[in-house]
Amino acid sequence: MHSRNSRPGRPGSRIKKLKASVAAGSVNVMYLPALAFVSVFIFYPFFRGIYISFTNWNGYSSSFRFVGFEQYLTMFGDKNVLNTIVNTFIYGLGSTFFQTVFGLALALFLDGNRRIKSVVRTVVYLPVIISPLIMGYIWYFFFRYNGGAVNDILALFAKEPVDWFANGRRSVWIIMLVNSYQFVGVSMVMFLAGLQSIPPSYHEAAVIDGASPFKRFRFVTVPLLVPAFASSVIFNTIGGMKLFDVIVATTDGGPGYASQSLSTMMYDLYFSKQNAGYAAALGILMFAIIVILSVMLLEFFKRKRVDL
Amino acid sequence: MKKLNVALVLLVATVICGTTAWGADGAKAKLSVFNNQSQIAQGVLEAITDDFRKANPNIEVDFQSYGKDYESMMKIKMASNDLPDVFSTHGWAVARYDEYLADLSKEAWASRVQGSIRDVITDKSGKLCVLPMDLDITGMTYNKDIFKQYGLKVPTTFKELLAVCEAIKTKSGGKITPLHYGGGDSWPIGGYYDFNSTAYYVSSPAHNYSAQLLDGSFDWTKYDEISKNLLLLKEKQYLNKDILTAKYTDSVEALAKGTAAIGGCYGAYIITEIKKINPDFHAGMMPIPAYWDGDKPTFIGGERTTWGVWKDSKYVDAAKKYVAFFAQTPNLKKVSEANGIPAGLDGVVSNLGDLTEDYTTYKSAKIFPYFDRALLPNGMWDVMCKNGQDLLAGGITPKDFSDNMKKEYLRLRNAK
Repeated sequence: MHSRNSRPGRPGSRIKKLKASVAAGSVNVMYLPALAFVSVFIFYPFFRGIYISFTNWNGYSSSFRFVGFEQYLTMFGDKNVLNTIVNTFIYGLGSTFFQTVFGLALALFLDGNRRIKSVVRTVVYLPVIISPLIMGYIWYFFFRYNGGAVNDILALFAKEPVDWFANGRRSVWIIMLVNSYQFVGVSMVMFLAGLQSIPPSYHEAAVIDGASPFKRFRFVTVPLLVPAFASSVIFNTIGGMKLFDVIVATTDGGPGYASQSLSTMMYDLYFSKQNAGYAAALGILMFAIIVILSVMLLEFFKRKRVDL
Repeated sequence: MKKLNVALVLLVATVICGTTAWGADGAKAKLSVFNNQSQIAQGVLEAITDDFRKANPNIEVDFQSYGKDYESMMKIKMASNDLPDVFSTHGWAVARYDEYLADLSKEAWASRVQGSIRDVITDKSGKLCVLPMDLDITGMTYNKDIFKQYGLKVPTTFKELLAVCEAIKTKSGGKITPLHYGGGDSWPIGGYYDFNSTAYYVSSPAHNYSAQLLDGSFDWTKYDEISKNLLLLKEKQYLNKDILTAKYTDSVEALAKGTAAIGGCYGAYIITEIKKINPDFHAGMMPIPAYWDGDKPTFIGGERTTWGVWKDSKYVDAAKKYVAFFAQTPNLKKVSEANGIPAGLDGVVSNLGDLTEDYTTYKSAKIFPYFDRALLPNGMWDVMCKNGQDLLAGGITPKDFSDNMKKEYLRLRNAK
């Protein structure tokens, strides 16, 4: 309802509107720093990356030429890229699987053991705050051929030392497990928060109905943990697919290209092979894979969501 | 408002002072210096920089060492045309950095540049691109005591090298690795290819393909041979078992502890690091064995420790003064001795320790420039490193290696 003075057309109303609009404008001005930040550090590099992917730029020279879709066409016939995509999926989906399973198991364990909760939670979460590069080096020293802890243990049993990182496929699995170990604490915390948000009355009702512990887990806990599953799975998938530091510290993507991820391959193409155009095309491919996967996962979890 | 005015005046004054030429009352030049050296050589450069700071209080020096990330850092700097005032050119003074470098040919020290390096660091227009603090003369570093113990002679051909490796393996009961490469770092594998390519495809007059490599007509199937021989060395167990994962530091350790006899592609720089672990290490430097009958062993040479000055630096004069400080004889002596190689300017007598004898013995051996720098387009180095690892891991065959080399060679040539 308008007051008499605020009726449209009156001078007083126009002034008020103007003031309201200025006030709203002031609020909008507050967005500008964030918008500028995102534009400079996200949008500009992203669109610049798309632009570079259509050139043969070497990464530093002032001259280059447009090559159309050549980089993309080369990419689809490059067996190193195909191998790298497979590795990236192992890093992304494999890490997610282990982090989800063990994160959930730890959360369930801690949810029922309040006395040791804070201690175990801290211990499991501790690796998260260590730099992934340092974590990679720690595990490199465990698995190295000469003087590595694992080979020293094998020597105690009179076994021959194994060059763990010399086999590409095995390196990929070790790296994936190192990443899973480092970030399992994040999943644990997410699931723990989810478990604590489930009202006890739901479990009590299920007990009265005679549900076994497994059925209570299957039909009460899991459906109500879907938001935690969604956050954990999407977060870990994206993190695993962008894996870089641990690979650099352990194998540097080797032997050859055997344990490269899309991130390390991009780095190698840009800085070592002087093929920035190809690196940019690979970046766009990685972006597309992550976006498609994230949207599919979001859609999946949206359908499974149960509101309290 | 008055306060605002005062602040503006101060701001303008600060800006004006900031753009005043260095050397004027109280104004300081601020040099940024980037280098790629690591460990001992880096320490020496830093110590000389400290002396420079003391001698030149009106010049601030921000000295940064980037080690193995140096190339990546410099590529970012080149892409943004914002280079350090003084920087190392790590073998690429002319081929990569020429357009960014100031001419140093008018400097007082320029006339003393050694003849063997002058052409390497001078561009087509006659511009002297850098100060060469030392001269890279590289072959294979080896443990003289092991050779003496088993009564071995330095091999002069690939066949003799195989015989020496067999003798070391057999006589040591497999406890000493004949040839050690820190292949986990990938660059030592590149080193195998780079060093030996000269013996396979350049140094023998009957098998000199330099012209074909430069004009693009090289038949890359010929490159299978060098890969086949790498696999042969592996198959005969002449290489360290962990070649795919060992780091350069593992090579240092193995040589220092006497569990490896020859550092497959390590120059004199490795000796100072070995001696930190084992001061009694008796080092030798052998030239790269010849591959073809009738050819002679060769050394690989070129730039090693250099300083170039960015031509668009705000402080070109201060930068040249900094470079000139390093050109002083006592400073050059320190740098060349740290790397165990001769100084880059005439009139500097360095104590090269164990290697003095070898440099005398092999003074008539021919020195060739690094294969990749002289004959391949910029960017091929990593192709050799990564594909070499892949070959040793069984991921590709020698033919695949050559095909990949050809593909990247053509791409990089055409990208010029």
